Order: sequence, then C-alpha cells, then structure tokens
Amino acid sequence: MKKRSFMLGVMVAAASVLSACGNGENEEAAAESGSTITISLMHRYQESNIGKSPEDTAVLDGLQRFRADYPNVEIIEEQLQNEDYSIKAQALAAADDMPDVFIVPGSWMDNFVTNEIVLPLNGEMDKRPEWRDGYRPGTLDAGTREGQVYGIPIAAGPTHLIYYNADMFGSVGYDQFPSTWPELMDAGEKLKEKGINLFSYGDKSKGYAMSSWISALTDRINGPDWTESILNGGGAKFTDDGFVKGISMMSELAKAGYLNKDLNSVDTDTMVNYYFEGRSAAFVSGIWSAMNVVNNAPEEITSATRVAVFPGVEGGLGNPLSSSGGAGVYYSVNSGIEAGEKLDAIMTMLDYMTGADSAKLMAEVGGFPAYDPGEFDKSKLHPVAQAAYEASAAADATKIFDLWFDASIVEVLNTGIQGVMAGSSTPEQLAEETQQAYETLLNKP
Amino acid sequence: MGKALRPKSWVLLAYLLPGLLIYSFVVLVPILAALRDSFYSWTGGPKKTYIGIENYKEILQDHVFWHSFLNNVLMTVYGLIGQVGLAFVFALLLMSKMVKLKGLHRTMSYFPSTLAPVIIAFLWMLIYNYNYGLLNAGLTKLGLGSFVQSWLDLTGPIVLLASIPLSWQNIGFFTLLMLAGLSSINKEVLEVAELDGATGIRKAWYIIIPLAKPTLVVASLLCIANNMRGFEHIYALTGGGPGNSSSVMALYAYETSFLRFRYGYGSALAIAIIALTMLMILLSTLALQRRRHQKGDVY
Repeated sequence: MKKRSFMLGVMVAAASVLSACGNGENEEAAAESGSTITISLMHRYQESNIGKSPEDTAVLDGLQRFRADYPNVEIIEEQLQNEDYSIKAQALAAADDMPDVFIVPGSWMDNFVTNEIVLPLNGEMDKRPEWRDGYRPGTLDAGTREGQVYGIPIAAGPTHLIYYNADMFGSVGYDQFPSTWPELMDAGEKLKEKGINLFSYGDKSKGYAMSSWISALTDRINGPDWTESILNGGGAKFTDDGFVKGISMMSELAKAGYLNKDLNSVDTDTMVNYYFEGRSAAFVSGIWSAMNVVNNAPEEITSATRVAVFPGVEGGLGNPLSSSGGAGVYYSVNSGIEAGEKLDAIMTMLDYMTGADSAKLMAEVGGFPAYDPGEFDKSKLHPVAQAAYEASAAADATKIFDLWFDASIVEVLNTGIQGVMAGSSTPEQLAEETQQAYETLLNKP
Repeated sequence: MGKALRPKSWVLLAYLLPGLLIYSFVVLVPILAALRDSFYSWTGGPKKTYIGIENYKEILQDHVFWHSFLNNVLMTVYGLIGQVGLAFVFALLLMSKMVKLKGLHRTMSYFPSTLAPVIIAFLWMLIYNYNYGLLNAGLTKLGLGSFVQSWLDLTGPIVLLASIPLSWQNIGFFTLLMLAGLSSINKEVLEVAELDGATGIRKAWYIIIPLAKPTLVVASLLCIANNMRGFEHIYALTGGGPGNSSSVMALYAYETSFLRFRYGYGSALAIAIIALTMLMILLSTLALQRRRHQKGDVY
C-alpha cells in the first residue's frame, strides 16, 4: 500500500514537471509564430449600456472589431459599473495588482504617476502620428504629466448641460431658459407654486454635484484663472469669495425648495426619472444624458426637451456660455508592460476602442468623442442629441474639477457638498474644510 | 475534566496551532502592518516617507473622525436599547405563559439575522424612500401627511434611522442568546417567587435580571463591539451621508485610504479605532464588574 502510494506520488510529480516543460515550449513556439497574446482589461463600460450610452456603445464596438481582426489576441475583459470600478481599481492599485489596461480618472493621475502604476506612452504614440494628431486640442492634457502622456482619452463631452422642459417653462412665462440667476429663481418660485421642482437633483453616488454643477458654476464667477491658480498652487484659495458664492447659490436653490426633497438619497438615474415623470422642469447633467432622454423619456417630454447651460452670474469673470468639459477619463497601461509585441497589441486595441472609427460611431449615436470624428452623419441624430452636441461644440470647455483636482480634495468636496445641500453645514464651512485638505496636499512630504 | 483524561498541554497547543496560525495571519499581521504604516506619509506606491507621530497628531484635530466616533457611540447606545434591551423583553415574553406559537415567534424574529447587510440596507432604503416608501405611505394613510419626510436626507436623526435596521436585524440573535441564558435559571426559584406574590414586572426586576446578569453582560459587550466597528450597514444604507452626518469610524478610515489615497493616515485611523474600541470595552467591563462587586454577587 505504502509502496503504491509512493509510486503514485512520483508519477504525479513527474507528470506535472513534464507538463510544465511542455507549457514552456508551447509558449515559446507561440511567441515565434506571433500567436496568442493575453491582455487583461478592466473598464467601466458594459454590454448592458450599448444603445443607451454613446461611450459604452463606441468603445465596446471597437473592442469587438479588434477581437474579430486579431483572433490570436486573447482579451480577458472585466466590465464594472462606474462606482464599483472606482472601488475595485483603487484597491488593486494599492495592492499593486492592476491589470494590463485600465481606466484612470484624471484626479487619480498624479497619484498613479508618482507611484509608477502607469506607463508613459509618448514613444508608442509617436510611432502612430496619425492617431496621435487626431485628438481634439486639450483632450490629452489631464492625462499628461511633465510632457509625458500617461492616458488615452475616450470622450470629451461637457459634464454640464441643462435639459429643460420648454412647455413647463413656457407655462410660467419663460419661452427661453432664464438668462439671469434672478430670473431663474423667479421661474423656480412659479414652478414651485404648481408643485413642480425647478431641477431634479440626485447626489447619492457622490461626484455628481462636482462634475455637473460646481465646476461650471465656480467658473462662471471666478473665471478659469482661479482654477489654474489652484492647480499650480498659485495662491488661490477655496475660501475665496467666488467659490463660496457658487456653493451658496446651489444651497439657496435647495433651501428655497426648488429641488427635490430627497436630493442626497437618490442617484442620477432617479433624478432623470423624476424629470421623465414631470416632477421637475429641468435637470443638470452631462452629454451622456442626451440619449437617455431620447430613448427612454415619454414622447411628450422628449419633444419638449431643449438644452441650455447655466445663466451668467452678474460680475462673474468666466464666459457665460462655457460648460465644464474636456476629456478627463483615460485608458492607461500598466507600468509593468515592456515594449514589444504585447504593448503593440495593446496600443492597437486602444486605437480600435478610442480612435477614428470608434469616434465616428460615438458621434453618430449622440456622444462627444475626444478624437475628432471629422464629418459624420448627423441625419440619424435626434434633435435633443443634436442640440447637446452643438452646445458641446460651442461651449468653451472649463476644467472638470473632479478630474483635475487631487483625489483627496475631490473626496472632501464630494462629501461636504451633501452636507451643505442638506442644510447641516454652510458653504463657508465647506470652503474651510476643502482648503484644509488642499493645504494638507500642498504640504505633503 | 479529570486529570487522567486531560491531554498534555503540548497536545492541546498542537490542536490550537492551525487555528492560531490562520488567525495571526489574517488578523494580527495586518494590524501590525497597519501600525507600521501609520507612521508614514504614504499614497499607495513605492514611496513612503517616515513622519513619526504626525498622523496621530492630525487625528486629534480631525473633527470628522471624532464626529464619526460620536456616531459610533450613539449607535452603541441605540444598540443597547434597541437590540439588547428589546431582545430581553422579547425573551421574557417568550418565556411567559401569555404567548402562543413560541416557535413561530422565535423563527420570525431570527429571520432578519440571516440576511446580508446589503439586502437589509436596500429593504430599508425602500421603506424610507420619499416618494414610494412604505413609511411615508403609511403616514399618509393615517392622515399624518405633515410628518412625511425624505428620511435619509435628514441630517439630525440620521444615526437613529440607520440604527433601526441594525436593531431589526440583530434582535433575533440577541433574543436567542437571552432565551438560552434565561432557561438556565432554576425553575424552582421562579416558582417560589410566584408563590411569594412576585409576578410580571416585579418578578423580572427582582429575580430574573439579577440571575440573568452574566448573559446581559455578555450580550452588552457583544453589542458594544459590534457597533464600535460597524461599517457595512452604514456603507450600504447612507454611505456616511448626507455629507458626513452618519459617518462611522471604520467608514471614514476606509474612505481616507481608498478614496483619498492617504494610506498612511488611513492606517493610523484604523489603529485609533482599535484603541478606542478596546477602551470602550474596558470601561464598560469595569462599570459592569464594579456594580457586581457592590452587590456582593460572585460569579
């Protein structure tokens, strides 16, 4: 018995050693014949959003085309929801266990570059000048550090647009979207009397306020120089009047009862649904909501929907037509990848997913790609999507705070704005807290 | 156990060793690692800067952390009332002759304990929902429309509102614990008490509570430990919001590490949580022990 089990053990060991050798030989052979490269990819685009979201539609279409054209490349893909993605990616980054290709929001870029998680891609981009030069101006900026490109942008649409119901505003005497803040407050009051919210608002999954409201509103008041100064540590403070005023304007809307009561406990999907149900006369969101309105709103709501941006602020330094926008989310490559076949395959895959063909498709289904699609077929676009696209092209893009500011500041602001909107803290307190986080960042050893 | 049957101490140790090894690996090692990291400024990569006790100094001034600590304490107080207190009452009712279908009650009250916190949070989100929630619908039906609120947006009583689902979940477990404790009380003592005319509340107060004290103490300590390190409920129900109003220590440490990329400071917060929880347990144990000595009971 003993003898037999010993023999069995020897055989198993031998078999495993032999098969291991076999594997090694296979791999070498594979490399020689240029077959089977494995790329692990983790991103926040999902099959289930195809047809709903232009970004998901275009990127996943590109991936499918790549798979068809390069059957020898195996892609291990993981699709996650936006929030889940952030949680998982940050945990993996901390454990230094990132996949080959992943998504990096601009606000993480500093950290990932400092900690050598991402690979600089200049050399690779220079090999492909046509692709490199096809991006809209400025779209690579938030992913570039000291001249080194660390990320390939995907979409560049504005994060601040107002989708409003023209019929409802017409019924309170505004045939255009109010062009000044006092007028907007007046419309809010008149709508409130009818039991309708001026805006529906949903900030449960933190970040909405920052990307769709605060960035554009602060710029209206302070102008882009203030933002630059904050980013360069040039002396601007979050406690400056302009920033506090922007936050105050938001909290006034909440205090006056022009927003839905459950503004911190519903997410953006519910926010949009409130608009579809006619509970609110408008909602503030990015270009990604255009297709949602087109595809999912009741007919009478869709036909009444128009697109606008925040009115200018009296005495404000910013362009009253600007919207926060530009690219801010990137595909980055793991710093562990060395130049060679695999990196080439990765770059080709990224070209398929974000380059010319993908950009054309994204524009045709109502998105705003970072890569300039050139002329594309606008005939298929619904008027709402077209209006959003035109507003995007016309808008002077202001930096999106949550993609440019460091994650430590973003988190404090995202959390604090909820307290302000709920009425438990004041705009001044929030400015104070944010400034503190900012100073901690500046003084970090 | 008789001396003859008792295995040698090294045998005992050998039996304990596998469990002890796993426990050290998943609990003690990470705690020690966190203790080490808490002295660094570290953003998650290869660069670590030793900064001594700066992180701990920052904790002392971090009002969000202390606000979260107070929320933990508040949750503990609500937990002692809503979980241990109510469970004790339920257990007494289940022991009494008034209640029929005891098995059904036991099963029903234990059922929520079998659910995952995320599911419970989702259930209660639906209950608290402003437009479609059960709670507001009920209030409207009762003609109390003026009390209708967007419950999870209230910053004042948010900790209480978040503690209710927690009590709902844990009450079954504590009820079973109490029942086990109460059933060990000598029946004769209770009968004698009844003959002496102690019934209902007086029997509970003068006879049952003193005799069930060890069970109550264990349940209270469990409840304190649970609430001091509470995380998943708050994370799933409110995410610490609105703002920081329902934040708890563990959630704040998690956000600091994984959302703000301040792993060093996050580790320091984790160590602070351990220290504070130990302190709370120590204080409550001392308080409960001392009262016992005053009464001259010996267990």
